[in-house]
Amino acid sequence: MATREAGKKMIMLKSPDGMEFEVEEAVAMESQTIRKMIEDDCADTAILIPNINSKILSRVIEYCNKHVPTTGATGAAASDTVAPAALAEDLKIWDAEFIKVNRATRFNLIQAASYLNIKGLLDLTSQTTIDTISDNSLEEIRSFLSTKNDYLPEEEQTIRRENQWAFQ
Amino acid sequence: MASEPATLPDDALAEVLRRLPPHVLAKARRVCTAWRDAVDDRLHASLLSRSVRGIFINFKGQYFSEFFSRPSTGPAIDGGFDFLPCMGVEVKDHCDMGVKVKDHCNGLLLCRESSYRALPCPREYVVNPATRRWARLPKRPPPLVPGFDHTAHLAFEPAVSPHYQVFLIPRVPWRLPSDRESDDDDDNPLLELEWPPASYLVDVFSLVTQRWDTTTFLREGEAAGIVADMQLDWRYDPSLYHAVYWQSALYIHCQHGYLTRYET
Repeated sequence: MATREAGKKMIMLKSPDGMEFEVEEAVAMESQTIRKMIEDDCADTAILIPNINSKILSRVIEYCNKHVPTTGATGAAASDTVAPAALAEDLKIWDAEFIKVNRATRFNLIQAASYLNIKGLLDLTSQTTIDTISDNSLEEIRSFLSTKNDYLPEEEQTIRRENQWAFQ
Repeated sequence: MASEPATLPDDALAEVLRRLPPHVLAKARRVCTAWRDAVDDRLHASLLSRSVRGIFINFKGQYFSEFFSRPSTGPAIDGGFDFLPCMGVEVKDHCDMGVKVKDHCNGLLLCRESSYRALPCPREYVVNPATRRWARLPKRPPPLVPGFDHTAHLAFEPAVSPHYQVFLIPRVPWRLPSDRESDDDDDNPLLELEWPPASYLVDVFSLVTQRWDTTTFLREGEAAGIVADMQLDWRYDPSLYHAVYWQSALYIHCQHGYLTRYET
């Protein structure tokens, strides 16, 4: 296994607003979408990532950089000095900082994580919204997520009844 | 995209919803029509809880169904049916009313009042023990083939429709009613009839119409035999013959060991 510094294969990612990001292939492959492109040889010199602007894309790369496995190809830990538990704890703290963003950015990150298929990032970014939906009343959910109740009163009755019969 | 999207984009919404447990997903359907559509289009199957939260058991010789569960963190299931109106009715200072689960389908139960004393007309209920939603089933119509029996079966597939149906499936009775003076049952012309008949009438209760309607089913393939064959099954006990509703078809285990499939 080569060290991080020596001869890493690099991949160029382009955002629709014309920015280019050079990242290690291993980092880019945190995205299952990009991994598939590389494995299928669809990745030429640069991969255009549609619908994700440079601001969001740079944050996604930041996340992947942090989360790329630090184990070598042989499976041995790259770091002998830091215990795995401490690494996981460090990552958790880093994640908590990472997700301190406004709602619009968070929604954009969910969308980017969904398109790029990065499970960890998707779990992280959607958790706040999951908690909001789980812990609040319908009115609160609507107000937190800026959705309007567009049900007619009778429709509301119907769906309430449906839910009571069928679901918990 | 840099502009502030106040709401979740569609694909992001689907990703969030996909991660919700069934009962929260059901709540999410009520937020707005777009959320309901997102759930119904892509995630309807996820609404069904696949976790086993308890088991109802009918013990032979027992009047009531017993519920067994392990302590769980989810919403508790009231296996004692305390929310049903027939429960807690006291006669001579003690309560002898209970219910017996007669059939079940995807989380719904078909229950019948039961008691140590004979009930002239036991009421029937369709119950979701998890949501405690229940409805009394209107009195069953008499069997469509006079003198025959019928058994009730639930058909409910919430991933397809939130509405249930109850089917009354005709059963050949142990002993046919004699329509003449003769004591000799073997002369009964009913015995020679094909079974199941080529055209089969079944009473179906639908939650949508709130009433029993007679539906005609046409037999595909050969008859299993004649009525007399069915009667050879002298051990016949309706509680030993079960039905399964699966992918919009009702499969009924019948006397003499044959199986019928009703497409709904």
